[in-house]
Amino acid sequence: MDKTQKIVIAEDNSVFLLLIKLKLEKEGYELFVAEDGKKALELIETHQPDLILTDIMMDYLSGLEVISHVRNVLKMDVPIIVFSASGQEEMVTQAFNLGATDFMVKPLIPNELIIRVKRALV
Amino acid sequence: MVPPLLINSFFEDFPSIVIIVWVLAIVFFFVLISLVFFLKVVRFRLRKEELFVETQSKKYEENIVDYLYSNENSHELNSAQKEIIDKLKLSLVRSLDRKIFINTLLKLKGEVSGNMITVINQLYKDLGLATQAQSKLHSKKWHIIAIGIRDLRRFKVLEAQDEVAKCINHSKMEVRRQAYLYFINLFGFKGLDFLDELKSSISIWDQIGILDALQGMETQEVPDVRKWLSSENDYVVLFTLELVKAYNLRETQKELLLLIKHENKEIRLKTIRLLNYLYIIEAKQVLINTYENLTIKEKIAVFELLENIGVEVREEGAFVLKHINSKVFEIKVLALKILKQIDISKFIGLKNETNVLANLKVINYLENNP
Repeated sequence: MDKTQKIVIAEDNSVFLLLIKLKLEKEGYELFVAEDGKKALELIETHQPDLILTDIMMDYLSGLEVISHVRNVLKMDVPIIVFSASGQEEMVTQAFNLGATDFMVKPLIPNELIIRVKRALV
Repeated sequence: MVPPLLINSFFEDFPSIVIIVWVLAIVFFFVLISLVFFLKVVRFRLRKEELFVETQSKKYEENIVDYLYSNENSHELNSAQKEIIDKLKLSLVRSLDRKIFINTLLKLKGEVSGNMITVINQLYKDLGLATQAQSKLHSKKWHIIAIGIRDLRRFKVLEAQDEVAKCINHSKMEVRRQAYLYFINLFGFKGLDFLDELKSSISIWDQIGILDALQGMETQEVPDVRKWLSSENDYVVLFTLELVKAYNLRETQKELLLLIKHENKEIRLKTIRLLNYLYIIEAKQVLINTYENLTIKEKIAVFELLENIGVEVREEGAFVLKHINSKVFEIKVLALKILKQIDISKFIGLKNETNVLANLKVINYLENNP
């Protein structure tokens, strides 16, 4: 039997978080949700996810700090997909420099997110 | 309770000032106690409301997500969705609940796109919230009207356009602003038709807001704006000039040339600058012919145009030469600059002709600086 793939989502918009959580759970993934960067890191360290989805702007720790910690401190090569709002292009570049795998601009289409998640987890 | 007799004997030997101080101290003590109690009550109520908002938000978030996922593949409402709608309708009786629910919808709207936005807008209508927002348009309080139009815009309620159109000339600027944005956001460039009916002003801030909203539109097909350049409302003309500039509408040339003789000096000045920006060569002669009737600012703008577009020695040379001794410093400098461009020998020759030190300094400066 295949092992259920684990995803950590870090996103501070609670309703959007709930929406994508349910969407991904329907697809068969095991989800761990964090409403800020600090909690996201705790979840990442505890659960060793197969994929990380993170917003750039968050409380306590930004998405960039999360990526940096995952790559430089935890030394994990897990794929990371970043959510950014339009106008944050510079931050997206920084995210890629830090080791992000992919990015999506908000507002986003949930079905497109699923496709990207599947592609990242292949 | 202290017997009054005891109080009297206590204060008997004190001077009156001490008694007054005592009385004041007691009064202030009670005022302080009341204030502390009042603040406690306010804080308790605020915390209670905060907790209520938090709980309700969570509940509505779940309801909305359940609704969205109940039927992803069809446009028809299924029984699960109908059930959620009925449940929500019962819950959204209080205005605070409606406010929380709308904020939750908006929170989600900002993050998702595609078909989900259409579904969210439809949910807003199905819950009767669009009807309620429309009813706000009849309120006597202007801020309620503004909120109503804002919500109708955010949830794209096209059906309210006739009602919103009535607010285009509302006495309050905030209401008018919401009305403009409603038309632009929902109908794009077609929404500019509200300019036909506009009798009041459009602030600079609103103009920027409208242009910004237009630039965000998917289709950038600009309608024919020429009719608004001859509007009786000067604010409409001024805004249309901004549109002409933003979209380089050179086809408005004929109307722009007519505006040079407009009675509003702000329009005239803006038009001259726009003609310069659009590089309309035909403007040169028209401006020279009307030059004497213009204000100093407009005259300077004319010379800026001549400098930018260029001058023909045979046609405009004499006009330029006539103004090299202008009393207005800017005009004098511009005229000399143009002369340097079109006839350098004449320009150099001026050095020997002039005996005014200031003029000589300008000529020397221009000679050494391109």
